[in-house]
Amino acid sequence: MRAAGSVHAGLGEWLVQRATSVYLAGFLVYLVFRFAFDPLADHAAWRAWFAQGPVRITWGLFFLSLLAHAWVGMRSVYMDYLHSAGVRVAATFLTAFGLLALALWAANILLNTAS
Amino acid sequence: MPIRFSIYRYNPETGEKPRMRDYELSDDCGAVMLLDALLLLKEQDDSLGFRRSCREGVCGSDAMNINGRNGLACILPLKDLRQPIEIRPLPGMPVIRDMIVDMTPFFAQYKAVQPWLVNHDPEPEIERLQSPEERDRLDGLYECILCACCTTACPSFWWNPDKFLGPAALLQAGRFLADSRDQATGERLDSLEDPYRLFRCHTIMNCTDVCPKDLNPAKAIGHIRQMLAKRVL
Repeated sequence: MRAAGSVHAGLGEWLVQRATSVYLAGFLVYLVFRFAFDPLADHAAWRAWFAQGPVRITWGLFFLSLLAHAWVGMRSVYMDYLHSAGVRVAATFLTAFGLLALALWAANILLNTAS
Repeated sequence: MPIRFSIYRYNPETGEKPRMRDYELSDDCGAVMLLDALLLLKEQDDSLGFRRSCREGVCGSDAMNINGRNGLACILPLKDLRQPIEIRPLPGMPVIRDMIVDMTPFFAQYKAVQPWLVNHDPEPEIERLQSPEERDRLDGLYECILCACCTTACPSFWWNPDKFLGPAALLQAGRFLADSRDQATGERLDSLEDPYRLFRCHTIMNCTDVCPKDLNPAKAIGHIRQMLAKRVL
């Protein structure tokens, strides 16, 4: 066994993965029912729907959950399969920046639909 | 109809590559369990290497990969096995010869969870007592025979054998965390809280699927995670 001892980490990521999966599953079920019973007809209807604050907040939480969930998942894949520390660190940083960019893009969309 | 076998053969001293070799036994050979058949095959070919001892599923020596599934040869009835019966060493372990694998990494994992009772109180005159309920909490944990069927069936162990503790060692970690006489719960949880040691488990549950003693390492690992979560939530 590696003699480095415990690094007292991993629990937070595990809890984030569990919590975000609950929100993602719940929100997707809500979306299915939302569009099944009250479909949005056109672009104007979409804009009107997104003009409501609670809608944007729930979508914001959805994107945050999705990106956090993806972060934990990708980290897990790298820890499992990338055994060169250099490659693992590079992949981790690239993923972090990529997910941050996606987060900013999502924020930009959600904030601009308000105006 | 003969009983057909295809058995992994490897002897590093010959310099030859590992290969599968075919064997046959007549169906009236008298073998009931797979281990009986292997012992008869060893009479045919005494170079065939495998470990065995108690021949009744207690010692865990004859763990091997049988038709793609880890198990104990001594408790697997021959009649239940698809032919040709493919026998290989436990996956992911260094092979010493044929079905004999080097268990050193496995026992290093076991040792890493300190599989002994830690109690700083003065030794009592009689044994350290438990209530029946406290004793019941050890059921499903203490019965492990350390055969390594679970750990070597675990993909997370295959990818990180030097960092992930593996289901067998984690089951034992759970066993001592559940013991009312143990006083090292905090230290044990501290040493387990690690992205590799514990959290490489992705609840694949091969461990629970193959355990020849019907134990549930995945449940024990889940319980350790709950104990860790309760410390911070």
